Amino acid sequence: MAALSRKVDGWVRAGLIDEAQGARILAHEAEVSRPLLLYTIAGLGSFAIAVGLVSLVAAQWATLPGFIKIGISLSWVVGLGVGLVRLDARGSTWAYDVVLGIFYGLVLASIALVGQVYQLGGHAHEALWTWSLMTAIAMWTGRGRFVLGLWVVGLQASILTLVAHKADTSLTLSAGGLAVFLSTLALGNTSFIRRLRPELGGILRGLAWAEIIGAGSLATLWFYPGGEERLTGASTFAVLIAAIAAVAAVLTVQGTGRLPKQVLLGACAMLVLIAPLLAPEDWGLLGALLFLGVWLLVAWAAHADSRSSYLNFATAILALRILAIYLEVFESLLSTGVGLIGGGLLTLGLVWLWLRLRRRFGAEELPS
Amino acid sequence: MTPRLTRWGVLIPLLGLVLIVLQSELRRRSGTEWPLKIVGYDPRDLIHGHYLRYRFHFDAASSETACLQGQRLAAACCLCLEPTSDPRAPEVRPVPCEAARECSAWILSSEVQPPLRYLIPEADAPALERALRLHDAVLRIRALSDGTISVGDLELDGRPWSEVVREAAEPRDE
Repeated sequence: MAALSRKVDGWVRAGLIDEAQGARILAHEAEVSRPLLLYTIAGLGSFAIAVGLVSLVAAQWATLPGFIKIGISLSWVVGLGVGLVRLDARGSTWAYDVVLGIFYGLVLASIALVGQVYQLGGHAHEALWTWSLMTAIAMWTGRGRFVLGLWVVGLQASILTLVAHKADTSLTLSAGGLAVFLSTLALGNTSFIRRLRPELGGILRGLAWAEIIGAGSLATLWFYPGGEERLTGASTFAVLIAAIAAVAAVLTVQGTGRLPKQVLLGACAMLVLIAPLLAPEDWGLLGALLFLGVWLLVAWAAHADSRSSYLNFATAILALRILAIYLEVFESLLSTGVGLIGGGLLTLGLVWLWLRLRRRFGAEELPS
Repeated sequence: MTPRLTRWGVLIPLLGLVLIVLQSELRRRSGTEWPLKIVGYDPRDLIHGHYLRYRFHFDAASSETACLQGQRLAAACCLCLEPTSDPRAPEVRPVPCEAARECSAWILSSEVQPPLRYLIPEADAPALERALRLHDAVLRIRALSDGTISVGDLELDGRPWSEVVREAAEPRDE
């Protein structure tokens, strides 16, 4: 709010709006905006408690008989459940989300506890699926972005552990993972989610974009020595599914800056699916250049969508990667004066380029 | 969000947990109990974090070769359990699953495939690892009529493992 207040003051001084309009804008924003810091801190607190409960169960209290441990755990679930119903009736928002976050973690901890007491064995994905299915309705009722984000990450973890369990090669795993990320993006783009839960749609899209770009960046590591991949029946199937998901995601991209986003999506998908099979493993420089290509596309998409913070982030990553390339290529020269002078000049050049780009972008952002 | 949705959201996990507990308890009380000898995969790395990695010991000499894939049991085979004169050492023999129906009890191949893990408190892991080298380990299981098992207590030389570990940790009088 402080930043908005400064902006409104600036607009009033520039004669763009009068004081009454400025006051109305601030009053409106104060009414509709949510205390983000409070939400974030509360969300982090509830997440820490949830993780703590899981750790506590993992450490296993040897001194208590199994039925007492399960009894305590179930009574906590009941207590938090009653709390959730009451907070919901009271119309509470952030307190509801905090309790819901703890409830979510506690259900997982309770499943793990029952597994320990009865030595159920099994695989991680079975426990995670049970957890995700049992808590789906409760998490749907979450109000804030943090709790909804926690839920999406939990759902993805359930699917990814299943993919990891079934995967026979790294390619199957990476293609399966990519298919999950692309499906998350497609789900976030559906009009159903956008209409019914706009906040959830935003989280799905934001998380999926970060994951897809991350996967595309990581795939460039296949150009370095150490990776060897072969096509199996399972990996062929996973690649096909991921390719179909990629085409669907490219076709359903929405909003401004559609073309760069489509190109970015396609490039990341191609890298994840093709690099493991075709990348010559001692072509590190090509891998590095492809990494730069991915982040140039990120910068282009951010520019086209008028997202200056993302553009800044992308240029910072580009600068760091260029420095890393310099270190990779001229490693032997670094101990000499030539290497140090070259490194210094490169760093200054990158800073200059960054400032220039920022200035240009800032000028383009100003209203005409 | 409607209050009804919140109530269902709370009720479903609670009912789900109660169902898992009831089902596990029912399985623990069903079938017949058998003490099965267990061994580790790697004697240098028996315990991993907070669980013991084990496999069931079976009589490889008397089993059909088609049922064995190294130390693993072939998917079409089952473990046939028969009592012997020693109540603590039943006969455990891999046989084709059709033949296993004639046994006193039998276990599906999928139930004994690795990774088999027995969860233990992490603090007791080093002591249990030492104890496993000194004692014969037996896992009490319940063999159910559908070929699945419910894992029970771990015993070392016929005594609960926690008792053996606790005893080993106590300082001895000179």
